[in-house]
Amino acid sequence: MHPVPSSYILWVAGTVLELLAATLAIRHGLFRRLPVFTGYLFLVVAHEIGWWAIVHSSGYASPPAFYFYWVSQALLLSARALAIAELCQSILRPYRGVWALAWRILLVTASGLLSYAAWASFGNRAWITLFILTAQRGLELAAVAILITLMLISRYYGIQVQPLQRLIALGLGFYSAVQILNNSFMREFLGHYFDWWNWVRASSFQVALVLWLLALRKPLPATAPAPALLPQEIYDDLTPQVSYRLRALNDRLLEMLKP
Amino acid sequence: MIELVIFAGVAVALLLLMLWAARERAGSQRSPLAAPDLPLEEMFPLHCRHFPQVRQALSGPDDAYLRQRASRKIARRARAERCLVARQFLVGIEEDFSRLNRLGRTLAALSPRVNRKQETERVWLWLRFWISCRLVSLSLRTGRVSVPRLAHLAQLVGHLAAEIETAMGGLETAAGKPLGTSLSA
Repeated sequence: MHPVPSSYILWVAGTVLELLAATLAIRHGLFRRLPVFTGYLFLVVAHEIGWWAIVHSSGYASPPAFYFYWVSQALLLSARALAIAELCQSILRPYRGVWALAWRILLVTASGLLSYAAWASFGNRAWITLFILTAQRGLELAAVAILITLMLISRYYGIQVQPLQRLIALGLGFYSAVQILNNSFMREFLGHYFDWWNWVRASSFQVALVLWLLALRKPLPATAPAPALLPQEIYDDLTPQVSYRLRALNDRLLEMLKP
Repeated sequence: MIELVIFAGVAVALLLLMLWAARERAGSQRSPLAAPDLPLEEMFPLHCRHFPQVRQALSGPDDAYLRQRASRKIARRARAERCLVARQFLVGIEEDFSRLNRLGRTLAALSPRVNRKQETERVWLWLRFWISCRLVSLSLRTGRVSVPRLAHLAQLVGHLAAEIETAMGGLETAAGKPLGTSLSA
């Protein structure tokens, strides 16, 4: 089975966007701030060119295409996981106290969802396609959950997320969320859904690329200086007082509700 | 098919949550960590400062006086207005709670080390307060919450503001510089 003309159009559009994003990442010096994410962009370009060379010569259903696709997917997924970890670190690390708390929360969230992915895919080990689709869905679930947790923590503590970081996170999160949906449909309808699955996967990645291009369209703003932290005793002295008062307010409010 | 429906729902919910969490906050330019000129006073309770006036408006003797002297229609209208004042005051108290909570979060964000227990407790308190406020507001509408109880709540917030301000003053003296500058750095 060889690709149809519309697949080539989608491929050309995707490759142009990927090349543009990788070029802008180098031109604007993104590799100095987010080296793993920049590396991921280049890996995507390399994968795209390799994948289409194999598909063009051997077709979708050939063994080389099968192995190339799934091995490269594992590599890309790992690179994406590292890029997400890098993003978490770049946003939260300057705030030492919050980071010390947040990385544990993020690690627990990731461990829980990765365990679920392992457990769910183990239950489908009899059939390789189903096994891979289930594992991939679980991993995408972990990716989007980590990104949401990161955004919620930043929001809660009033930590400013730069537009660049926000758009990169949005792109990664959007792609992962669409893949959860896409893989769920693919698991249900399998072969009948393959063309749609492939189209949705490629299109959602292009949406993510457009978001990243929006982030990279202008030269990157100067790096914000690290926040000046307060002496530890201020937190140690004031926080228990704030908590005590918040607790008292809650108790009084609950009293009002008693008959 | 059930699994498909569940995961489709989860994916859509996650996507919406992601969009919500990643959206730029309206007041982000005034975030304590982003804007160097945020006055520290904005983190302290404000509405409770109007407590004496509100207490007067909600006082029991006023109510008794109205019942004795005013016509039934006027008394009913006055009670409705008092209820409205009480509800608006509850909104104010909620804002004061948010300000204090924000102070706590800002202190944590700018602190080199945070206490996990304190942070967890604050999230839990915020959730409880939010739910309780909705319930009290509903009870006020149905006339099931007495106004003196609301006045007690206001008094508590007032004490809270005063104590925290005193503590901040003491710490400023100890640190040898105004905390407003440090907090907004």
